[in-house]
Amino acid sequence: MDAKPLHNPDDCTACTICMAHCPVARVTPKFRGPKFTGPAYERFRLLGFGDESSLEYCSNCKNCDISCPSGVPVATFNMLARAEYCKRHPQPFRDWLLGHADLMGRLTEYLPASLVNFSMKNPLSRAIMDLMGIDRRAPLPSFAPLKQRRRLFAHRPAASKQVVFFPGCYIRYYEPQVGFDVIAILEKAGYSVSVPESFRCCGLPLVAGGFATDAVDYARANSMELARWARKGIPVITACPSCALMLQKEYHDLFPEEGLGRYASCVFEACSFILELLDRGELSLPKTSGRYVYHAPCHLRALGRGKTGLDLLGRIPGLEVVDADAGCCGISGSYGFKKGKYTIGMDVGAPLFSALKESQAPVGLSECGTCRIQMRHGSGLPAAHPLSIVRKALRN
Amino acid sequence: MLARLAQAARDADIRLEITAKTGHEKLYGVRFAPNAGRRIPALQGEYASRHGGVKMSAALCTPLLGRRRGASSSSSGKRFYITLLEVGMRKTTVVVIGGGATGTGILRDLAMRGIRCLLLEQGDLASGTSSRFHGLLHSGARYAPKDPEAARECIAENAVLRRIGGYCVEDTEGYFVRTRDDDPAFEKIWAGACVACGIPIEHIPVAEARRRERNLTPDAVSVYRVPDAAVDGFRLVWHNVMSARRYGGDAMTYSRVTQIATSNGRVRGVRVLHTQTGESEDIACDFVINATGSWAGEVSRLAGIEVNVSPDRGTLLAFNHRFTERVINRLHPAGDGDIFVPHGSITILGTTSIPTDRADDTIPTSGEVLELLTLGEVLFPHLRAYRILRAFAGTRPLYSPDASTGRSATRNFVIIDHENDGLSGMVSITGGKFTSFRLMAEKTCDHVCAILGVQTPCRTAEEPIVPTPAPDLLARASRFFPPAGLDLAVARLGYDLEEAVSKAEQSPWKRLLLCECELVTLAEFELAASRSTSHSLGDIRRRTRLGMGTCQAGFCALRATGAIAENGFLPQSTPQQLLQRFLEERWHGIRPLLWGNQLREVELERGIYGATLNIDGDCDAPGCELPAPPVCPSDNGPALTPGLDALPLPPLEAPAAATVPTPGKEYDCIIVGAGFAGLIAAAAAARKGKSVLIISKGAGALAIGGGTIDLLGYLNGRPVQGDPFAAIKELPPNHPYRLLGPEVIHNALEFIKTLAAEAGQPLLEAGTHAEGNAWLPTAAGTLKPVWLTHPDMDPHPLKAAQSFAVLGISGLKDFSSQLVLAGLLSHPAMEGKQGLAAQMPNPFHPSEHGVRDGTALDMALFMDTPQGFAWLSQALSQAAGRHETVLIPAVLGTRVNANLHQRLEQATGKNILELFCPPPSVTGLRLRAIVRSSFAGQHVALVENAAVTAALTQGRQCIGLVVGDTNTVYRAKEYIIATGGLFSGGVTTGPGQAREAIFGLPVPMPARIEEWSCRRFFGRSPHPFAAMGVTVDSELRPTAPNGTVCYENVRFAGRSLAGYDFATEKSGSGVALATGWFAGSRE
Repeated sequence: MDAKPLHNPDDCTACTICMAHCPVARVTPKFRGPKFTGPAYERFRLLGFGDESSLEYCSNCKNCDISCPSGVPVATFNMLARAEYCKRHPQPFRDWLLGHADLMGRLTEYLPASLVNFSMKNPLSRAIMDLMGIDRRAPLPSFAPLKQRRRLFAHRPAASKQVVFFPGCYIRYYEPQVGFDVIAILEKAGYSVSVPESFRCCGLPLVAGGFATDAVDYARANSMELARWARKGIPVITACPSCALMLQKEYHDLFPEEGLGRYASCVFEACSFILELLDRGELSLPKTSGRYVYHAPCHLRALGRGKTGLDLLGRIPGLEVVDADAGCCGISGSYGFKKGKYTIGMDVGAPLFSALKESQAPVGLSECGTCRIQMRHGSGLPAAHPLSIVRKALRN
Repeated sequence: MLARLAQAARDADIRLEITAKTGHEKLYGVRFAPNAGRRIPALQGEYASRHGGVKMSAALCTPLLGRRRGASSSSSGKRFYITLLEVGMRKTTVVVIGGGATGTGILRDLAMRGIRCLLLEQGDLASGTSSRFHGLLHSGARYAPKDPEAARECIAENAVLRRIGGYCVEDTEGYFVRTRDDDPAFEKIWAGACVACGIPIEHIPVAEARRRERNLTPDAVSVYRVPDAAVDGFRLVWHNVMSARRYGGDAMTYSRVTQIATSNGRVRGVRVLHTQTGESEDIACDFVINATGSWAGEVSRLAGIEVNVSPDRGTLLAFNHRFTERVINRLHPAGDGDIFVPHGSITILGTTSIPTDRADDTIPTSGEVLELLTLGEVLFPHLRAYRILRAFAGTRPLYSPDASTGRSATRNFVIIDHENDGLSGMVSITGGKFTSFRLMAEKTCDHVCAILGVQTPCRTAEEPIVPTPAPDLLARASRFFPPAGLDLAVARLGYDLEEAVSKAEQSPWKRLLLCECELVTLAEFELAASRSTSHSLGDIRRRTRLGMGTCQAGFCALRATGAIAENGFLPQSTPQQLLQRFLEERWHGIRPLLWGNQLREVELERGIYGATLNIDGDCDAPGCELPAPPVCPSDNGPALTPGLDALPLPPLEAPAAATVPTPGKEYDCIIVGAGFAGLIAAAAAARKGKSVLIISKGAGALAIGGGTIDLLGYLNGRPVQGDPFAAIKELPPNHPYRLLGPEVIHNALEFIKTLAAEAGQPLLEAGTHAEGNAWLPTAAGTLKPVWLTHPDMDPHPLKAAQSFAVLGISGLKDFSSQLVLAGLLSHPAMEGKQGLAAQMPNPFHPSEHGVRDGTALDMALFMDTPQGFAWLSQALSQAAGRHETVLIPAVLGTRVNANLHQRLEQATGKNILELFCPPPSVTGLRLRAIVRSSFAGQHVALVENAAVTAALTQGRQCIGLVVGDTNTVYRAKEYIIATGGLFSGGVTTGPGQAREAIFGLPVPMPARIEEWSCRRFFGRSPHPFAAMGVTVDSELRPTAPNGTVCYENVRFAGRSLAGYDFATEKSGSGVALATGWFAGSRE
């Protein structure tokens, strides 16, 4: 097959718009910034000089891609370069652990969640983890009870219309309840929802950790599964914007030679899918009440469909939702858990935390699981997925 | 004489420093500063020896300088520079004319044999053919079939150069690739010839070759590996001279030989014109070697001798990135455009071969560029998708006693002893190739040594030109250079590495990267700038690669000029002149490829230097005259071949029904683009109670603009006198201002003022109807006409002040207080004012500051914190001294409504003005924040990271916009297209073609690319491409060439409109505001 010149730095004009909008560069000078580590350095990587250590500070939040007027896949350059860098400078075990959250989750499937959570969260463990490089202040999520997690994959009644739910690691291991909410909404719209166990982690944490080889393996496995549903014309839905980004865009952008991008069109981010159900009249939302403050995850914005959760909540009469519109929360997956990055993450998120508090709303909303962790941690507000609010409205 | 100077200085109570005296050039460096209380940074080393810069008042010059041989002076403020030369004729044994590879090779060879020698070059070293080739170190395989002698020389010298010129040679190896279209019979002939010449070739499987070279054509049918390599011409020439100097040789640049003095049939000396000073000098010598390549005929004529050299013009293209790891040759009889050489960070494609009658016929044409692309595409099918940085041309010196030309002429060299012409003591060497320069030098020197009776054998093949630096020096260096930058700098600097490293060690802020595209540190730049051979930024560029990367000097030129101003380098010109000339120099190579990404880069550069810094505002000022532009070749070039397929055109028909999802919500108004025009349109529409959706690809260009509202500063290239509203009626009829009329513009200005006031960050109406535009000082030391500004940038205190201080921050490389001060003081409007330029210490320690160079934005973010504010108040009070009016870079915080400016003025008791710095722009981001803050509580939705790729239309109505990536259709009652023109892709261009990107509306442009632009980058007449865009009616709806409206519910706003040039008019933000507001507020 003829390889198109997908990744080359030629569209970059060095205009520095990405530097102005990079949340990490704004709070730390340790990161050379997206223009530099991305397209500018790419020209030297092609020359065989690749050892730019400040790459580790890129959080892969994608604000560079979002702000670039030239369509340069800046973060993709950074992630591919990080993978190359890590081949020569192997990552610490901490990165392996955080990157392979999927494996960790699977391991815990044989132990009671309360035990796992205790063993992870007691001060001694946190001290050990701190030594390993996971900041002791980091708000690590708690595993959900095993029973609940298993229930996600339960067989559900058939219906004329069918969708597949891709849970993603966060919902699968930490907040299955969000999954139940999505499933309930879809069932309400007349869909039967199946949740195959064979989906693996989307691979984004691996990419962010520099484990590109593992990420390709995951991408291939998931694509096999996606292909199965795509052939039947059954949409695959995920409620995690990062998973959606990976499945819809990144498989293609990161591994163009693998041809994994071809199933992208059957993957839907849950809120945008449900918006379409509303447009087609397959679902209607009743009047309800409540005040919320909404934060758009960076990866949702990168999907190029707008703030879908906010749009969806806007369709519920009686709801009062304020858009925090305060940029990145700083967590970027597990970035903000890492020692040396925790403070950066908190500094990045500071404007959001104040916006959340100033909104006076009792609950924060965001589509992204780790964004919600950071929102809770930084502002003290509880945080929920917008679809949990939609389901609540449907229940009333 | 120095004693007299010193005495005179004491008498006049002026501090005098004698800074350097170098033996060889017999120049004295003297400098004294006026008793202004502040010492100008001391001159050091070689710099002083060149300039002998004496700074004094005009009155002092005459009595002091009794025996001066020539005084050249250029005024910069009130200082004068006088060059002192010791009287007495310079003498040497051999004069080498020509500073290319051969000449410098000869210089090194002679010097190593202990012969006194001096090289004279009319321009800069390596400014001729030695830097205007593809940088290929031949294996000889290309010449083997036709010119076995040249091939044997090549393979032998190839091995030698790898040995001695390690830092100039990159061992890439090479492939010869036969494609399906090439004659298989030739392959056998070629392979046989290579073997016969002793060139090791190895046949390798095509699959393997394509695995290693992923971009190579799938049409390859046979591939051979050969020992080709890449060689850096600039560097090799420089290293030769460095090495020669170690052995006592010397080189003078910008020294043109105007006479070869002879008597009794012998060479006695030469007369040299030092073109930078205009002085002539006689140099006595026993022997002259004419190593001037294509110029050999002209030089020999000075001695009344004919040398039959026919220059042969070759044009080459430099691409922005390295798309091949190896040299790729096409395996066919040598022809045009069939060699690709990876060269550092770029790739070079060459060449053409056209006989010419002028050695300096080096302005490339678009015809040649397109021809090269067509030829090169055979080996790299995606060639047209790669960005070309620039085109350049050189002339091969083909020696042809038999008058054969072009590819049929031999590549061999010839040494002509003019004894045969009746003149002893002179030889000419010409012909040959870069690869064999050392051999040519050796043979020439052998010949000359025999005549001079010198027995010492040649050692140039054994001794490395530049030795490998000691490991401890490398270790020291690695602490200060970025990883990739270290290797590059080590290779570039040669013998100068030690000095550059010491500089970086001693002054931490000299570790900053001046040129971020090619990773050139300030230390390296200053070293190059301080050398006696540097007279312009162009000279420094050839040594450092400054400005040769992606941005083509868009960012580094200002920093470089600032560094020059801070150090007082290159005093013959003002920094502003240096900057202008540098940008003009780069322009020649860009003009013939003005489309696609390169044109976008040009737009950015015009935005920074033209629209925001107003570098061109003074383009007719005395001292800014440029040398007459070289004549374009008369050849009109071949017909333009590439068709529209080169353009990424949007599909005009609706996408297949199956892929169109159910149309979602219908908005009142969809705006495409989140730049200033788009945001203003959204704000205006939202005010009208409309539901608004903004679809944007990118965050808009406000982050790189100046953040002021520029109405109309220039008309027909002259500053607008008086009320700019009155000048509007003199604009061309299709100018957006003419279409809208003054009332709309007025209302739009009121609108932004309202938004700003609501945001708590009111804008100041700096311009007035009575007095016209306000003139704001910029970071380039220019004044720029604006209408509305942030109050922090109010120029009126400066106007009123008798004296002012310009304060930079050490380590903030984008702002030089010396540059600003020198520029402002030379401005007629600032007549009689006095100023001080000083630095505030950087609040961060360099090591503490980490790895990224701080920008004004970083400083502004620090000022957002209480510590930052406290630091600035204190640093500013200290540095400003008694001055009441203080100019600082725009760093006063990023937040709107923070009142930092007011608080700072209160805290320090000074009038403080912020000056715009190059992007990322603090003031631009503030303007963005003002407009965006108005969306709170309104019906404004934003879809980011989404490029609208097509429109769905029905008759003269637009019924939806398609975002191709997500396959989504967005619908609204009306659509506003604010896609930002050339820079942001609202208008896409190909060679000789342009088109609006969403609707595919035609944008008529001349087919010949040279007609898109003017010869001068910054001149009075606007470039034709600058006004390219969508033609609209008075409602801003797109119109067909016959004037009919194409779509009734579509309006265009901002930079994609035709009929105005934001950069020369200084009207960009004004047009964006007026058209955006008008489009958004229609009922």
